[in-house]
Amino acid sequence: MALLGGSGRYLRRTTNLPASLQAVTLCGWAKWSNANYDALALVGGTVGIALSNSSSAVLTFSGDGVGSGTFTSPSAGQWFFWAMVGRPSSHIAYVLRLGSDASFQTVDLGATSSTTPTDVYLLDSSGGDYWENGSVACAKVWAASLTAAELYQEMWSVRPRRLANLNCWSPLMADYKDYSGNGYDWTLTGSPAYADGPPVGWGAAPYIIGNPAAGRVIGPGTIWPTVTM
Amino acid sequence: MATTRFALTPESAHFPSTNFPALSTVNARPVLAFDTTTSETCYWTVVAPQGLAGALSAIIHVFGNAAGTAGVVFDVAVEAITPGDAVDLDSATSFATVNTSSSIAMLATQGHQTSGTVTLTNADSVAAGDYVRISLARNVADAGDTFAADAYVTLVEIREA
Repeated sequence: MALLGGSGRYLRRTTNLPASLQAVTLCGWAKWSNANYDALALVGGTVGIALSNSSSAVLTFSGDGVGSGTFTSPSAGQWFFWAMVGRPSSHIAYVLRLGSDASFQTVDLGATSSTTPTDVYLLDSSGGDYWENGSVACAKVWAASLTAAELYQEMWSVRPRRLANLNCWSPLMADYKDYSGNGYDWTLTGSPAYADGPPVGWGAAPYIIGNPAAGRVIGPGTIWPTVTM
Repeated sequence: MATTRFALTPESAHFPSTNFPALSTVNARPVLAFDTTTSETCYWTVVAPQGLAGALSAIIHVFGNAAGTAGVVFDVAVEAITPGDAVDLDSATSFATVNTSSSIAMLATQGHQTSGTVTLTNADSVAAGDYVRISLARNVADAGDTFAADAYVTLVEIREA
């Protein structure tokens, strides 16, 4: 499932955020309901970086003082994975359109400010002025700069693969809570609404029952030698 | 004695890029929500465990997003690949012929769960140690699929006779 945007509905966090824009990653899946032009996500303080959809339906990555760059845009109704990563030498965004891109599209805007983020938005960028008409799912925030290789792993799992420096993880399937254990829940403006999500598995393994004579069950990461069927 | 061989949970499913069931939760229970009008498919990948030798069947645990006793029909297919098989994984799949359930009658009260059994007559000659994919799809085109709401699959058990 995914959180459905529209009618001024958006998520925001203003506390317990990563300490520097030079060590932050924000990623998730999204889908536009139509060619609406507004903001998908933002992280920032006195300066910030954002992914938004321009008036000509062009997905754009922009940063205060460093300009902007564009992606080959997803179509309305097309799921895409997105990520924004702040590093000391760059802030870079990644986009992969499901069914269209074999690898990430990237936009690198160059050196990042060391500002302390005070806001993170999903489905908006400015307190309700730019809400996105679409859906967002599998939102994850780290106080670290993930590599492209790490993001490929994160893309295909609702559950985070990297736990180090995990700041917040919200599947956005039935609520907007933080599942990381940190308790950094999002604040929702508007009434919650949910829609079908992207084709991303939770990231668990099936249970396989081994030799019944030995009574072995092989589960996701665990072996219980005494279980018999 | 029948033996459970695989317990396929919603969280362990993976999906095609189109026409897939939504991974969702109902009352905090993970479910795969199969649409009533579009045939949707998901997969599980497992290794055929040592000792596997008997006939297999799939037991699908399901409840509906509506009240009523209409039926749902599921297709289950098995792809078993032994190391050395001449299957080009880059470009081909090798699922055996689909096994179709009979119409599984939903329970009258919304939220009550039932189950249906699909005998896996076509199991692609699966043998211990094979790389196996199991496909599950709701067959909305079947005349027996009359339940006009999402079917929530909570678990699929693969059982050996």
